[in-house]
Amino acid sequence: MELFEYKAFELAQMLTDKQISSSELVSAFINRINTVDKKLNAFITKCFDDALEQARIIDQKRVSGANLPLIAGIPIGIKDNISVKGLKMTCGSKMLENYVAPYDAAVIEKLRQSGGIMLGKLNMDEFAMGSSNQTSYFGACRDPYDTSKVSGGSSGGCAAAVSAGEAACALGSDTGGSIRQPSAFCGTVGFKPTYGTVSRYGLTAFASSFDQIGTVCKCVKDTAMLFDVISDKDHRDSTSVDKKYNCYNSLCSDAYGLKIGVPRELFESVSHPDIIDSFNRSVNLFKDTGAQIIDISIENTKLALAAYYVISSAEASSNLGRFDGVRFGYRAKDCKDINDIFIRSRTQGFGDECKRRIMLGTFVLSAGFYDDYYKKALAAAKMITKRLDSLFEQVDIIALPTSPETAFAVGDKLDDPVKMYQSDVFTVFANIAGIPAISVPCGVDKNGLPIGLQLMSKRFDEQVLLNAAYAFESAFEGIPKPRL
Amino acid sequence: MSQYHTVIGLETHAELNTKTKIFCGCKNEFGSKSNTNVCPVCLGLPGALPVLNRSVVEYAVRMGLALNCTINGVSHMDRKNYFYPDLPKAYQISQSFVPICENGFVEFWYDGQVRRVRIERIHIEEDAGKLVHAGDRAEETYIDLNRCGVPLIEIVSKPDLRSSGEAYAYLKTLKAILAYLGICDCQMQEGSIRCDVNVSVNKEGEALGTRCEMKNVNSFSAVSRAIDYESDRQTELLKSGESIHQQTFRWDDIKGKNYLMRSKENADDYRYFPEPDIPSVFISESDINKLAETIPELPNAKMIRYVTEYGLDTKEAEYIAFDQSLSQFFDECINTHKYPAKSYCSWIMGELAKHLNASQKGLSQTRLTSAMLNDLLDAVNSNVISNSAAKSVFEVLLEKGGEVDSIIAELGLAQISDTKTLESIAKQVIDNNEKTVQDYHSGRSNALGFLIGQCMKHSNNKANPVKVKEILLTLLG
Amino acid sequence: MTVDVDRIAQLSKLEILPEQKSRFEKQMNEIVEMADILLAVDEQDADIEQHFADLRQDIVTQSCMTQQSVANNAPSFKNGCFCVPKTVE
Repeated sequence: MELFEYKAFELAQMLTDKQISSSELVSAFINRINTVDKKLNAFITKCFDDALEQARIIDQKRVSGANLPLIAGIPIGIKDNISVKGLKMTCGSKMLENYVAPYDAAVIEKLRQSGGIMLGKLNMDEFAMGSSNQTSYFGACRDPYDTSKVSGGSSGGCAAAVSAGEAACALGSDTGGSIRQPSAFCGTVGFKPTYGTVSRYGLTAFASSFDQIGTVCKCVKDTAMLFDVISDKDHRDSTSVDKKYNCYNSLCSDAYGLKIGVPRELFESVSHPDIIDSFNRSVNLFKDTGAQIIDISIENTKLALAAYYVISSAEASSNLGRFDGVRFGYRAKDCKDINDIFIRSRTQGFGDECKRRIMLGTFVLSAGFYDDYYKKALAAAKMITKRLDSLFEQVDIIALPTSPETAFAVGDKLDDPVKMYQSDVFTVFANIAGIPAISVPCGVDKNGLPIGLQLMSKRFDEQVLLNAAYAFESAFEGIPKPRL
Repeated sequence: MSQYHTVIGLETHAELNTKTKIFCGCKNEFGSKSNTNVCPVCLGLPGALPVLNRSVVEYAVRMGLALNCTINGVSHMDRKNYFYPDLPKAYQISQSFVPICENGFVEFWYDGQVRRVRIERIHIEEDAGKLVHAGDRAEETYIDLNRCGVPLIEIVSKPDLRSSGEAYAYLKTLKAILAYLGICDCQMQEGSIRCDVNVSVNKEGEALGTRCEMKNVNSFSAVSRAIDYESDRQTELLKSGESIHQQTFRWDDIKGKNYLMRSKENADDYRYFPEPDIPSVFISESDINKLAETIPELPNAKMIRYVTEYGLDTKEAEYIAFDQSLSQFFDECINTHKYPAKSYCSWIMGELAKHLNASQKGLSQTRLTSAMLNDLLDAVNSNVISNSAAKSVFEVLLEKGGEVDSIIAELGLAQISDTKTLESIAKQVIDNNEKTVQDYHSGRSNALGFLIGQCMKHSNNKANPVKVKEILLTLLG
Repeated sequence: MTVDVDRIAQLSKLEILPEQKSRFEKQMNEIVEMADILLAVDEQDADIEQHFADLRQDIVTQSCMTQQSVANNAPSFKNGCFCVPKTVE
């Protein structure tokens, strides 16, 4: 088995046992990237020299007997909307093609403190808007299971890289399913924590009320390991909550008595039979482990999608205003006045999907429409949150498919935004309510494309959620690795 | 008698003098080298987030209490979205829906009465950067973002002002209150206080007219001029039967004219919505009460008291009341109940004012105390020294302090009031000035003055001039 | 509710080219139609636990930025300032 095929916790053990050095490990991943990334296009920026230097330092520390955190020496990929000082941060956009981040995001500070090694910045849908990674200025990212298919998005680069063994794990961001959906497409474990548990300081904002940094890993244990490192109160983020986690050490695969709610009526919309089949088999697997399956009803799917798109576009339209060609980022040439700079830089710098969302957001906030759309969307979001909160009084976990489809062909759906938005139908709930959610591989379709099972729990119940995911993963036979 | 009434509302922005900016830990400081007092937050870089400064909330609450407002224990920050080169995030974080203070009023003395202006709201927000124009012929505009994130409070009055003079008095009152609370350094030349001016004109008996706005007027006298100009402009239009369109102007104080910025049709739609990066702002009832205890008697209340209770005139009352250390001194003096308010007032307005002006200092930088002033007044009243000698003693008190008696002795300023001594001097002078005495008897009006002057000269100016006059008159018969 | 693409584009500082305009209009209207379901929502006050902002102490902190690091990403920077074509206020 190649080094890049191991899980991160296994590599951590090997490093601690001094079976391998971090330099060897990083070199192995660098080789893997050099071999396969041309087929996947997961990386936008590579920082191999720096990674090797960091590896060397970690190795020295280990040699001198230092007791290092688990994550020390582990090669990690970072989604390109998270600020890493000294590296370009493009957000998948022409607008920031040459922008060099002057400071580290809070999560990057934590990684550095713990010795995690960054291999580079990963491809994404432009400004995190999209569910396929096709809107990236730097080209689509491909699914390692079938490179004619999209990786999913917006954290497509994260999912593809981890799936293909280009990184042991990755940090992505999830606003409406952006970690979970590409993880489902690429067969990785994608986790979005409770809103506020991971600092957003240094994450380029898309929809401030929903954005969360999360993890893309090969397994649940790795997820817990990485989440423990990045979660913490941060005084630079006013929405950050005071909760420190220790999920890795308390991870437990016993699901006996776990109450799992299944909202069957949601799946009426799913036309892909393999997804329903694999979901049903997963539910049965849970039953076998001793979990209790309870029928529940979430209601209001259409409302959830509408509320999500109205709120997220509104916030995005405001958050993207700062990209105006004046102080950083792309500035159009030969502008005759300031208005020219604004309009031409933004028109040339943003892709169509960004423009669509900005305009939608501007529309719902504009005079005459604010009350009808934005205010109502906020009320709908509160309603949905309350509904989910009350459901969690009856059940511990809610289980549903991550996505109504598997990876589709590159080039599909580009011109049908509403169709694209509807594929977020299962993931937006967790963002609206701020609850933690995770996607774990639960099967493959007729064409061998991965399918994801999504589990959600109530706010701050990450331990219960990760335990449930771990229980499933332990009982499940797993899916085949991608053949690249 | 004009049939047209002018109605004015003012939105006053005051920069708070907290140590740091409103949403980040950058220094809140004027005059740094351009773009050196900045960080990812106030630069609006991707990924940066705002965190609200506690002192800004407290300062705003204190101003709200000073203006008799209701303090909202829970208020919210909102985004005001528009594009401008001095606005890095393309939105200003302000308070639109629920401000921290509302529904207050301020009373001040104007035009012989107590005037009350209602305060609609006070809210907190961030300042924008500065555009530097390199002269008329330059092709470019330069942008300095040091000022981004400096905390502001915006004080919005209801349209209760009726003249440019009243508006000026209102603004001076606000400034004095800000200074008393110590929350603004009130440096007008640094732009610490700026106004947007709203003016409408209506015919007597009719409803309020359409209002026009003039933005960013930077001095109180400019506000006054702008109001007069706009009031005239609207009145003329109405007189000729035309109607007023709602417009926004830029007031050019040098040219004394308004320049159109935009009409209602081109008005910006700010798309206000709640700031998702900052949860609700909470201040407890007990914290509000603690802040209320820090508020002294305010300058506007003092001024009204000085005019109505002590009979000071407007100029005197304002001069003393609007200076915290002067009014404290004045109140101390009054509370000794030794001399009438007017006596203290005349020393403050006269010799003290002269000294402070010349030395460019404040009262607290002198050594004068109320006890010393009382002693000085005692000495004058009991004729120990003359008025002019008292001025010299006063100078010493200001510079060095000390005991009035010792200073009088040191400087040898004690007046000669002894009748025998004065009689002997007077007799000598009369003897030596036969011609003048004759002139006096023939009714020459300045003869007596000359003789008094000679007595003063003979006594090295120490003679009590009032007594000298008495004695001369008696001797001359 | 049809979207006035021109007015929205103007507010957003975006230019939608004539050949793109009808496509954008159609797409935006479809999205707004999807959102119309919100119009029927009843805004009774849903009370979720209110989280209040943590306020910051008024203490100066060292910035990670210098004038140079500010200039590094700027499209145009002269005399210590960002530069744009002459802007009339």
